[in-house]
Amino acid sequence: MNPPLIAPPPVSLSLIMPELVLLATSIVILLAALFMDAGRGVRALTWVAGLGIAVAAARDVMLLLGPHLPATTFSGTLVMDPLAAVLDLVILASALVAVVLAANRPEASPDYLALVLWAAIGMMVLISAHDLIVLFLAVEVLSLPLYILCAFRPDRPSSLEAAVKYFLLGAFSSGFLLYGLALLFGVSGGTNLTQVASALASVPTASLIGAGASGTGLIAELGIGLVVVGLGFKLAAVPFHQWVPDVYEGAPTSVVTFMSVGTKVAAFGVLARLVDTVFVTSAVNWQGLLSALAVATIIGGAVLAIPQQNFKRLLGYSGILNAGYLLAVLVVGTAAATAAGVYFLVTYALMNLGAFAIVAALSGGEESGVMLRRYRGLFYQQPWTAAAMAVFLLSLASIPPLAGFFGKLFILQALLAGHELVLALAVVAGTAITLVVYGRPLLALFSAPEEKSPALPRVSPAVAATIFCLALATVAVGVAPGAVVALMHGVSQVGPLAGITGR
Amino acid sequence: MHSVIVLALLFPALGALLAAWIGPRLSHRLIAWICVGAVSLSFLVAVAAFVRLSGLPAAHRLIQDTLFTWNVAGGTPIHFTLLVDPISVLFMLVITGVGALIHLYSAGYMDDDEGFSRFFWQMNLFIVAMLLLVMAGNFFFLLVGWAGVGLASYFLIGFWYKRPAAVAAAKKAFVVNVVGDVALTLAIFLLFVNLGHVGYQTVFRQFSILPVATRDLVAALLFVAAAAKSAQFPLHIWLPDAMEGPTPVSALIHAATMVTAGVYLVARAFPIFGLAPSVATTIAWVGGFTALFAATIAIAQDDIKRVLAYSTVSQLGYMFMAVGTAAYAAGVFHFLTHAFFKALLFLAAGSVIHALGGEQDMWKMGGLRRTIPLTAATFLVGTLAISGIPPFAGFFSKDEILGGLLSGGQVGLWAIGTLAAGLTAFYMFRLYFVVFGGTARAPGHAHESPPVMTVPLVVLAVLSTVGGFLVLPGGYNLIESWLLPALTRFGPIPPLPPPTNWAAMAVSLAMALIGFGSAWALYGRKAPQVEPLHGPLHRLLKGKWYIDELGEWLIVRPALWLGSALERFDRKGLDVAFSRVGLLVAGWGESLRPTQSGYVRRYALGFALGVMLVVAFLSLRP
Amino acid sequence: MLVLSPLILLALGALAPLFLGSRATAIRTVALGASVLALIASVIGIVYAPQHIDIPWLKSLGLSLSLHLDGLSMFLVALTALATVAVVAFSDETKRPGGYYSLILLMAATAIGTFLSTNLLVFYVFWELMIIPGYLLIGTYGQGANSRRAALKFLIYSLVPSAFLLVAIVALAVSAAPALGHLSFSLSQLASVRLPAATQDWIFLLFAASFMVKVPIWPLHAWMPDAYGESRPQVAAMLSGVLSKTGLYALIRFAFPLLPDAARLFAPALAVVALISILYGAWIALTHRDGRMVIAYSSLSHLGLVFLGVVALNALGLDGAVLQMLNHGIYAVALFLLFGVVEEAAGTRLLSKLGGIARKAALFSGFLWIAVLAALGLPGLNGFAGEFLLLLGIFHTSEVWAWIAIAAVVFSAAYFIRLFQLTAQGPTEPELRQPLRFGPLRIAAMVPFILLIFYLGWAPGQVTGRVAPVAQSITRQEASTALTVPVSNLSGEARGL
Repeated sequence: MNPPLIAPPPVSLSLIMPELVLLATSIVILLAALFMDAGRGVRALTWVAGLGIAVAAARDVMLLLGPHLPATTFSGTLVMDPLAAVLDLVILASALVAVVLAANRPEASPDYLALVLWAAIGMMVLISAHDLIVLFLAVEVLSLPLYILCAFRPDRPSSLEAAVKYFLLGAFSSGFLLYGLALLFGVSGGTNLTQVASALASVPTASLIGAGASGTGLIAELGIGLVVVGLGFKLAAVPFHQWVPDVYEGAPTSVVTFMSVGTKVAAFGVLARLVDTVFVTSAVNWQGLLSALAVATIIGGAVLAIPQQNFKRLLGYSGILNAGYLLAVLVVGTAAATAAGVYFLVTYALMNLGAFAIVAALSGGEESGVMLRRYRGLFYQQPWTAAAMAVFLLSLASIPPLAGFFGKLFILQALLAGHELVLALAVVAGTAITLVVYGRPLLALFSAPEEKSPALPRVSPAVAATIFCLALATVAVGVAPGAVVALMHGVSQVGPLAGITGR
Repeated sequence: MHSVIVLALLFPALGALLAAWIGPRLSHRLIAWICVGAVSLSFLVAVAAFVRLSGLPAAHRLIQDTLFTWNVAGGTPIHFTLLVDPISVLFMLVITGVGALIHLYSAGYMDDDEGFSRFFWQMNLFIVAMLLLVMAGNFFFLLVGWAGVGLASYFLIGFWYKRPAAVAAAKKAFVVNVVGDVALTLAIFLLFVNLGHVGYQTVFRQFSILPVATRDLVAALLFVAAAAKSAQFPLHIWLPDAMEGPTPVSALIHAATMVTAGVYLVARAFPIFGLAPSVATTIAWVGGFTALFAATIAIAQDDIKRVLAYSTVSQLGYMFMAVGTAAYAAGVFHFLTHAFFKALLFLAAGSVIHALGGEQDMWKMGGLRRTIPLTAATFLVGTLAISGIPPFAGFFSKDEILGGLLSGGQVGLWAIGTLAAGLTAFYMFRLYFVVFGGTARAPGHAHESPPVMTVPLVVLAVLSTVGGFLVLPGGYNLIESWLLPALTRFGPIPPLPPPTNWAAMAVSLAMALIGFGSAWALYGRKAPQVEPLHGPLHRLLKGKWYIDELGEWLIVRPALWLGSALERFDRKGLDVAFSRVGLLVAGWGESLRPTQSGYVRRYALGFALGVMLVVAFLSLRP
Repeated sequence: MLVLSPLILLALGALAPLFLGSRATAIRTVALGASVLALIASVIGIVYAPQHIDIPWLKSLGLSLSLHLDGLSMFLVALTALATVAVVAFSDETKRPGGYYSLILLMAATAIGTFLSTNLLVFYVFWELMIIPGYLLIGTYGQGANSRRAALKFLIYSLVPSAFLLVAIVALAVSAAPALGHLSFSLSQLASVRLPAATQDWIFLLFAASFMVKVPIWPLHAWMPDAYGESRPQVAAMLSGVLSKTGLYALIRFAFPLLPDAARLFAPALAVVALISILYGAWIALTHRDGRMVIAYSSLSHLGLVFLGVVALNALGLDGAVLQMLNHGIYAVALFLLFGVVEEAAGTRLLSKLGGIARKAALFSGFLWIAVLAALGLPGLNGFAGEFLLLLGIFHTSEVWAWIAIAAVVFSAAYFIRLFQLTAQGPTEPELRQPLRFGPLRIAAMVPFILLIFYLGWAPGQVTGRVAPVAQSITRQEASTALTVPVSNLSGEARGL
């Protein structure tokens, strides 16, 4: 059960200040765009967007450090707790990277900036959602801008194709999610998660083939199952993952960078909250479901990644795989496990943003830039970029002592402490396979360059700085994981993050 | 006496180092001076040690010097101790004395070889290793010398490494020697594990506390080691091939010194064999068999050095017969005389080969008695000595052995030995008549060798003549009185040798004369131009009983076949079995790719199927 | 800091290419300098050992950077540094120097890390990191057409078991946590806990599999022919000379003290595998047409013997194993590098096309000869000393093992003599594509190896004397736990070290 929340004022705007800042920034950007010329203006507006994100993040940090968490607002439909605050920061970081990456690229425009900010708002609200309706609205708020963003390279048919695919399948999954939420409402008669949880606690299990089938039991099972399906789509869990490679390949790289991290973070956040409130009270076999999905996602993602020649597709599958790890920790359901998942997400964000940032920077406008073979000999052209890429790839492959390793280690520890040996072995098997996957681009970096292939574009200073910061963070979080752990320890003694403090 | 006996090792070691390091830049003469000098100085040290030992009371004839400690074996230090006692000093004298003569001879023989300095440092290295072998105070350093001797012989057999035959012979010798090394190592393990020591004295003193099986095992392993080094059947196969080395090498290594290491080992470790009588008997019988077996092969060989090689194998068989029946003094005595006359024979053969420009087929020789008379004369002395014609050295030592056998009741062994003695006389005189008698069978004119080569021949001929008088049948036995007190210090006294057996002496002399007569009748009188003997038996003997072929077909070829089969298996079978797993996983990736068709409708279908699975999973739980 | 200095020096050297671009000479000089300094530091380390540092890393995980330099590790650290010096001296990569020398130094640095770690997780960090340079060196600086495939195979074989090794390590720590009262990966703390037999068993199997792949031991060696064959001789020297030791070392350092019951249980089975390894490798080496593969398979055989000495589970065997690890490192590196010089000049590794090198280069073939003799275990040279002690240890545990194992010595003589003869002797004279490159630097780099071959042959006590206390404490500790604590004691009794 969730710990009792501190009695809140009915509406506290201060708790949703980060979202409000982003909203305000986006409006400023759109209005300002009316009065500025296209070229220089976008550059300035990029700064504005970055500033807005920074302010939102600052407010978020203040909330984290402040004494008020956890707290609810808007009549208990939104909750702000350490889990939400930390994940919000990750989302903001990925939004920032998306903004920076787009700066000198065709997709850069005021609309782009605004849509990124709106999607970020949707993600942040989703994590904070404590109500079924808010949850669904947040999903839509984050999805719609992303659909549009995917189409932001109208010069390339694949971009449009990606957008259409994402939209159609996204709508499809939203339908299931909505149906699942409706069923949960039907069982419990309320939309607040606390209400739903207490209602489900009294619902017995049911089976279609077993004796004593009860209608409410079946409805609860169906509800939870469909909610998991809907969110599993966002998380890119197997078998709801098929859109990922196509969309990743077709959509602008800056957008993919953003969604590959942000969507995953949001989906994990809301799932963690559901597990923590609704699932644990119900008699439904949600653990079995999540375990099965986790194993399928890990193995499927890892195996499908092996033959990929396209860097973005490869990273897409790697994202699927990592979603599997996140599902695995959710199965354990303890605070320590959730904390491990959050830690993993932080590290995942660092290395994934970094890897995508390099791909985005080096691909320039052309598509061939994302093929693995174009990276051959990068080390001899741009040693620092290649070194950074090596760091990200090694971290993704969870080679110690980089960030990814400790993310994986905490997950393993949580799984073994929770006696989930099968899942632990699946995690390890997935890791083992992906080492081969990440090994190939790694090898390419140091190989002899291909004859006659044009040199890869130089990386712009801003992007280079971003990449450098991310690489540094990937190393630092690995070499000194204690710092991150201590940060979380400092900000939270209660709630979903308590476990990360090492108790 | 400390550090003086070390000099025996140091001089040749220094010589080897000098010749190896700066040798290529020195003149042949200087190298010869250095290396011959080194061995000669070593000989002087041996003489000094001998004098010193003889000055001591019989029971205290022992010089020991611990140089350093090899503390590898888990807290039990192994001391590097040099031990000079009556047994080892005899071996030292022969190694350095005969060795010096052969070195001197080589200075002439090898003078026109481009590898002159290499030859000499390797020869000196051999002397070092051989001395280490006989001077080591424990089994462990015996092993070091043992392996070193094998290595040096590898070098020298393969000296002409451009010849494939030489390289192959060297490899064969090395591998067979390693078989012996391994046996010796195992024996040392058994001793070390069970007794905690490898020093001779401690081991011999405590050996009797071991169970019978262990004692027999140790003795058997030591025997295998000795047999490998001393070319006893069936490990003799390397020795005849080793004749690919330069002739002085054959003289030094494969006649006078290295091959007697096995005899030394058995004599040195006599308390062990004394406590393992069944193994000792086996040794004697293997020795007897080898003596006869090798003699039969020697009858039919055409290569002058091969005949001598098989005669060496045969004579070593005698020595093993002796030490196997606890007649250590007789064995060592035969080693001594054999060193003289076999070195002489080889060097004289070398002189012949040298004179004929490298020809080794005796059927292309003939009439050399007149062209190279000094070589012929000394060769004749050697032939007389090995054939056991009195008063040459071989007569006394061989009869010491045969007489001992007969008196000791070993009638079977005695009969074998006597038969072999007759064969020895036959093939040796066959060799002499064909090479030196008759008229020249091939064109070309032979020249007598230079004095640097003939002087050693003469010296050795003298020794082969008078060497036998160390023991006078019915009179005195200097060897025995020198050795026995040394032996008793290590263990129970071996049974005293029986008094001289005149009957055995007469019979073996008769056999020798029969052998000589047959050779005269077949080869001496008519001086045939080609081998008069033929027939299946002769072919069998000429083919060396096809032991080499047997080994080739039974051991070498299956081993090589298995090797390449395993390699194929490793490359294909095992490798594939393992990489299949990897490829399988990768293959799944490929085979799952069609699921990524790119069609939204298919994706939606997959999605829907997934939903159904989820629902079924949750709701169908029993 | 003395403990860390070789590691840090090598790592710093590895960073140089990031600043030096593609100036080959400069990069190589820096690499050489860094490895020489590392060698000096490691020799100083030998003088001042034992040394220990302990820097807290992540308290909540019981993770601290514990590095320990003692008799078990110091010689292997020095060997690594020495091998690196020689490998760099024998390398002359000019096209892509940056990656090459960096990776060589990184490989050495990470190997040193594995030798020093006394915290399981820290060990794992280095263990995993070590694989990456190997993978890249094989894959991108390979010689053969299949180098990428070979690299992939190396990667799969290395990383799959080590991924499971991580499960084993975490499971070990998690299982021991209740008894310790906190989570810890420290070797000394974990060693004081006795886990239930069943837990020990599966953890030990994962440990052993992972370590045996690295050695490699039959049948986990299938990566070896490809990796050794497709990479450069210098890289093969590094793989065989240094990396192979990490597996054996880890078995001694971690698997036995932590899982004594399982070690005892599985020792006979492992011995069988070791014996197969010994004979299998030897037999293939006997006939292989490729000279470098002869050396490679000889390593399979020789390291199988070391492995057998380790699983003999007595102090003598461990002592001998460490000595022979050092010895093998010395002669294997020398052999791979020297034969590499021949390959480079002749443009082929097929023994049938080689020969007669001795006439062209006397000093070179003298060095090759000494290395060969050391490898075939000639008494008086270093290989023999280790072999002798190893076999003695094996003999103490099982005479049968020793009898079978010693057969390999005969094989050793046969295939190494064959290798030398077909390379240096004989009538064949290969058309050398370029002169045999054995210049002053290479000679200077090889001299220490030759000297060590002699020195360790005559004074092995210099090594074993320092190893013995550690070996004894490991076996004694293992034996004492076996005696004092009942096997069924599930709680894991705390026991001082």
